[in-house]
Amino acid sequence: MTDPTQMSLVDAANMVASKEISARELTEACIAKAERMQPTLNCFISLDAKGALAEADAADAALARGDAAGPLQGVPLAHKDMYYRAGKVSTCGSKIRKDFKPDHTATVLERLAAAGALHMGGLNMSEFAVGPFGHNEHWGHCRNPWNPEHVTGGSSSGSGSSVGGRVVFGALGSDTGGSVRLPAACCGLVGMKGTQTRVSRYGVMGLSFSLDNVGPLTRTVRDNARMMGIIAGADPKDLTASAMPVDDYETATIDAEIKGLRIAVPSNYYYDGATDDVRALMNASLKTFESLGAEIVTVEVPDHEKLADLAIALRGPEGAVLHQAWMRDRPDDYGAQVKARLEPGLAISGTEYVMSQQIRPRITQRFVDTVFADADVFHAPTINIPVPSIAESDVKASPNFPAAIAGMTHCTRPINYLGLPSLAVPAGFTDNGLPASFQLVGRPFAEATLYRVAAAYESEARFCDHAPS
Amino acid sequence: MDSQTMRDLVMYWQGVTLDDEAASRLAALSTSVGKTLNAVAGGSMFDTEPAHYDRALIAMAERSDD
Repeated sequence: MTDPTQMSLVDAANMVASKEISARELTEACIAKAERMQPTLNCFISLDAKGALAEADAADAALARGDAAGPLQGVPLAHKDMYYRAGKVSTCGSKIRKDFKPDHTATVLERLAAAGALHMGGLNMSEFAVGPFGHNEHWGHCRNPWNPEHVTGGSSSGSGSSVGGRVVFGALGSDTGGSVRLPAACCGLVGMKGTQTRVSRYGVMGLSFSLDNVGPLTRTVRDNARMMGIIAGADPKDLTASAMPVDDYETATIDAEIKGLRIAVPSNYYYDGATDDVRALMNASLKTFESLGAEIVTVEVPDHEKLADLAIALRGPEGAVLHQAWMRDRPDDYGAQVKARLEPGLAISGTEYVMSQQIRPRITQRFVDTVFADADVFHAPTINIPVPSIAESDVKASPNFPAAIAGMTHCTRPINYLGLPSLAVPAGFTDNGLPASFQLVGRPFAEATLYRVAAAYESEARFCDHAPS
Repeated sequence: MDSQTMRDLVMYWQGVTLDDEAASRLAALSTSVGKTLNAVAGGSMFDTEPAHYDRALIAMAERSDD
């Protein structure tokens, strides 16, 4: 057999279910890959080989007994090190929580385990999920599998690096301003930030409960749809998770057709500062959509120059509440840039915070009315510049750090305030050889539409067939 | 707001010490956020309901894939 770590998540699950490969064989291959790649990628904070093999043996034993295979039966996954597992250390990528053992398990991890998934360990991440490049002063920078001198994107850095590096088949990240979509984009992966209330956050480290989203990073659209279908939905332990029924995302990806689909592209904001190579790749992706029968329409997006301030008025105080005591008592235990990015929450007034909450539905409604009046989905770059190198982006708390962060998150951050689903999709390679990506944005709860559109594109463009050497 | 006032306020309300650069950055941010909210909110919010965001999102959904 060729290297089993190169398979898609769906193929891996199917092969385990049909006993063409055992969960143990698959897991041993992933562990060997992890041990080989860790010195280069630094994608794991903790690798639990013994635990993963025990779970693999249990998965094989269940199949041997004749138990029905789950949709992720025997498939090794790993997750950003902020998804709590009772009794297991969850560092949150920090020095402050380096020994923290939660007493409860995240709902999304329970759902993945119930589907048969295995847990390989905790993945590197930006400290406390603050940082769009993936730098980490405490656990070391995570590195891009396409070129280790470049960033992975953050804050779900290890999720992007490990899945892109063909170490695990899928990973959860979290997205408060782009932290699923950015590493997906930088590492050539598919990444979903669902509708704001689509996935439970119970047992997940918080940064901003109004903007935090749990989402999967995978190599293919169908892989992503399968993971998202498992984790989405209401949760009695998290009353912010919507009771809205969950569509069959995976079915939407099969033999996907988009003839007659209308795709909106922005005439303002999203291409501000875009490089020529990114523009060319975005245009090429739109040509592909047209060749599949889609119609492109242009829209002027409303309110976008204001969304950064509105988002910080939410994220700032919510993050500051979580971190205030440590910022007061242990300021030197934060990385310099992380501390600097948490400080704005100390300066937002209560009335400003509530006002930003109160007007949020109105702002979202205005975007939906404007963009989706004549279109089914919205298309824009995920990042409108090439993936930067670690050296050029490691600005710490120097005076230009706000500009560096604003540039990296320019296209993702607005969507978090708008609360809309957004799917990052590989779109080729920029002149520096690193992946490029567009995002598809939909109406609230239109995740199935995004998966259908992305699957149609993927079946034509086939960037999922490219893997790092 | 000037940076010294910002530094004093953050110390008074939050007990957190800001350096000069952070105080200056936060003072500028505070001004920007205030202007943005005034522009977007557009006057009195007396008649607004508390934001029930999930309900608003559900209302904006269009179940085309059902």
